[in-house]
Formats: sequence, C-alpha cells, structure tokens
Amino acid sequence: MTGPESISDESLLFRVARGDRPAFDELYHRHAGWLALRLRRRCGDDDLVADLLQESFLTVWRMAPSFSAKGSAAGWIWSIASSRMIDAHRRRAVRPHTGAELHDSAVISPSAEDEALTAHYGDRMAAALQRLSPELRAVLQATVLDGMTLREASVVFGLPEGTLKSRANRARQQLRQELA
Amino acid sequence: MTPTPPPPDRWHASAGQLAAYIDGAVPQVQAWSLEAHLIGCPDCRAALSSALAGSRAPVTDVLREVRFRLDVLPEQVRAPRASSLRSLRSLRRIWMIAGPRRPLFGSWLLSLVLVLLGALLLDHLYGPRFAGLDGVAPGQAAASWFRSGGSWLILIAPLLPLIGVTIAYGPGLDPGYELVAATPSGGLRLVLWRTAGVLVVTLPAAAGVQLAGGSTRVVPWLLPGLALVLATLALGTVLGLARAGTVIAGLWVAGTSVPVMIGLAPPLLTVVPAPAWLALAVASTGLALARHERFAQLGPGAPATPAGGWA
Repeated sequence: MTGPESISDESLLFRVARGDRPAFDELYHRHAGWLALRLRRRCGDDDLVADLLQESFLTVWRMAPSFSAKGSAAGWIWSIASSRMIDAHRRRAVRPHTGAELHDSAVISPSAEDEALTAHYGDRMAAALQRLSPELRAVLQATVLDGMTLREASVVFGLPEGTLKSRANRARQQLRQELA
Repeated sequence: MTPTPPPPDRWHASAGQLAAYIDGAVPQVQAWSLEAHLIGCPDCRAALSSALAGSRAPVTDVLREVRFRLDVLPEQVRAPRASSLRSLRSLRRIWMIAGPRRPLFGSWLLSLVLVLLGALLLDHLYGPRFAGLDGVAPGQAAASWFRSGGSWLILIAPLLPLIGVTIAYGPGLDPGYELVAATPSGGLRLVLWRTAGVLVVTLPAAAGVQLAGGSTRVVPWLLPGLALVLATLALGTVLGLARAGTVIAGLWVAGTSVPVMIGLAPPLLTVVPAPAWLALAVASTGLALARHERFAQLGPGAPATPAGGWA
C-alpha cells in the first residue's frame, strides 16, 4: 500500500471514509491552509475561522463515505466549509466582514503579480469587476465564486433575499454593459 | 500588455502572488481569480501550503490550533465503519434506525402474540355467542355477521399495526428520538421506515394466525388496517403519534367491537365500503406528506408529546 503522500485527494477521501487516520492527517495538511485563508477573507475573526475549520474537518471525517467520486475533493470540502459558515452566521448572527469591505478601503496599486493575474483573468473583466460597488461585488462573490444560493447569501449578509437578487441583477447588467 | 491568457492547465500562481494572498494583500478581484484557481489546481494548493508553512502569517496559529483540537476530538465522533460492502452497510443502517432497538419492542411483540392468540381463543370458545343476547333482534345481526365469516380476529387485527406505529416514533418512547430527529433521515422518512417495519411483522403474523385458525377471510381487515395506520400518521402530524393512535384506535373499537358486544353487526366492516377505506388511505397519505416536517420537530411541539407535555 502506498503512503498517503503520493495519492490523489479523492483516493485520500476514500481512505478517510474507511476510518484511516493518517489519510485524514494528510488531507488536513493539504487542504487546511487554503481553506483557512479563504474563510479568513470572509469572516475576519480568527476564533470563528478556527471553529469553522474544525467543524469542517470533523464533517469531512464523518461524511467522507458520502463523497462521490465524480466531484473534486477540494470543491466538496469548500461546499462543507461554506455551509458551516452559513450555519455560523445563522447561529451567532455575526455580520461578516466581507472581502469587499476589508479590501476596498485599501485598494493597492496593482503589483507585477497582479498585472499577470489580471492578464490571465481578462483585463476588461477585472477592470469591470473593480468598478462594481463593493455591495454588488460581495453578492457576486457569494453567489458565483462561493456557490451559495441567494437564500444562503441572505443569511450571511443579513439582508433580505430580494435585495440581494436585485443587486445580483444590477451587477450582471453593469458587467454586461461594460464588456459589450 | 497583451492579454493572451495561457491555457488554464498550464497557468500557475507565482510565489509572489501566493505570498501576497497569504498576507491578505491581494485586491478583491485578484483574490477571486486565485481562489477559483486554487479549487481546481492541486499544484498551487501544495505551493500555497508550503508557503504557509514557512510564513509567520497569523493564520498559521489557527492551523496549528485546529490541528491540535482535531488530534483530541475525532475519537468522540462516530468514525465511518470499515466495510467493503456498501450495500451491507446501508442495510445495517436501515436496521439500526428502523429495526427493533426500542425498549418497548419486546413487550410489543409479546402482546402481539398474546392478543392474536386471545382473539383466536375467543372465536373458538365463544364466537357469535359472546355477541349480544340470543333471540334479541340486534343480537341476530351480530350472529349472522359471525356466521358469514366474521370473527373477533377481524375486529382486533387492524389494531395491531396501529399500536405498533403509535409507539414506534416519538420523544416519549424512543430514548434516541432527539438524536434521530436531528439527522437527515429523521422525520417522515424514519416514521415510514418504522411503519414498514411494523407492518412487516404484524400483517403476516395476524394473517398467519387467522389462516392457521381455519379462516380464509384475511382480506376484509387488510385495507381498513392499512387505512388506520395511514390515518394515524396523518393525524399524528396534528396531535402527535401517541394521541393520534389512541384516537384512531378508539374510533375503530367504537365502530366494530362495541356494536358487536351489544349485538349489532360492526358497521365499519359491513356498512363502510372498500372504496371509502381506500379514499381514507389516499387522503391520509396526502395529509401526512404535506405536513411531514412536523415529524422532524424537537421539543414541546414534537409529534408524540401531548400538547401539555409530560415533563
């Protein structure tokens, strides 16, 4: 049997499903980092991030048997963490520091790396996104990038679903106009 | 700058980008791009992990802390069972939640057997003679019902699955109820599994005893029996299963055994036609499905607790 270091995330998950502790440790080693950073951008409080990370990996440990081979392990883990985050907002009614609020006040002039990323992402798209108001961008982040439904996003933002829906529509219209 | 993006499978985040992302110094839009890429790129995730390991970013404290907590905790969490046969595992799971693990199961099974034998005995020893007074007109009605194939077993058999379902699910009788109601398979799904379990035991048992007793008239009570169970489930969404079962059982006794005792033919079995039972079954199913979320509720409003509560 090969060591856990050399196998794919998906095979790791199947081992975790059989109660394999070393496989779980390896999974944590591979995925906790990006997950913690991504959660941290969405809820500024490190204690909350720690709780969410812990809950997410406990859920991974328990739910690994239900992981389907068709999906990607990282996407599955993110969907678990995302729903834990929504639950946390529901439970504690904590208002999130959305990335928009955190970073818009401190928009830095783009570095060389940013330029390169921008090239990858599509110059005009990035510029158009950059011109969106932070409120509209936050809605796009939650629904498009993080894969939340409008209902879930409304829990996270503490805003009515209808408000978010019209914001998402406005964001889409604005992008369409600018990219036309 | 010429915006000719390389194909996604060959593009990778640079060390500088990852370091900036770790420090939270990447503007929103670039962070999106990076996060979307990280989800699909194991190489960049690995690069990010090793960059993190060498950094002094505050998030590394979080990672260590959670790693430590997970070292202590997982033993308390029900670990996935090692089993190569998935189907076997799911069968076992069904057995765990639908099978006989409740404290009343043994006594219920015993009373099931006793009631069946008692009804059989009643039929053999007394039969129509027990019903009504000889020579009185109403007594004749009951007697002729017995002569045309009626029996005490028919009157009692539909109650057995009903009672089984009544005690199968709810906070009062199932010590694991709150745990179970909170799981995805709690609520209506579990009620139906347990109902199926009850029917699997009671229907063959009652029919078997009846056939062994020499009667072939199993059919007359099967449909009412099923309708009673479904009506209990439907009413259970309003009153709670325990109360609903009591009410429905009371109505059945009032409509069958009581008339027979005073010498009448049981109206629920002679007057009410089969299509009416079928209609009751269908309507009850609809009501139970429409209000099924009540079965997953906890606390004072939970289905099997009387409105006043027992505590």
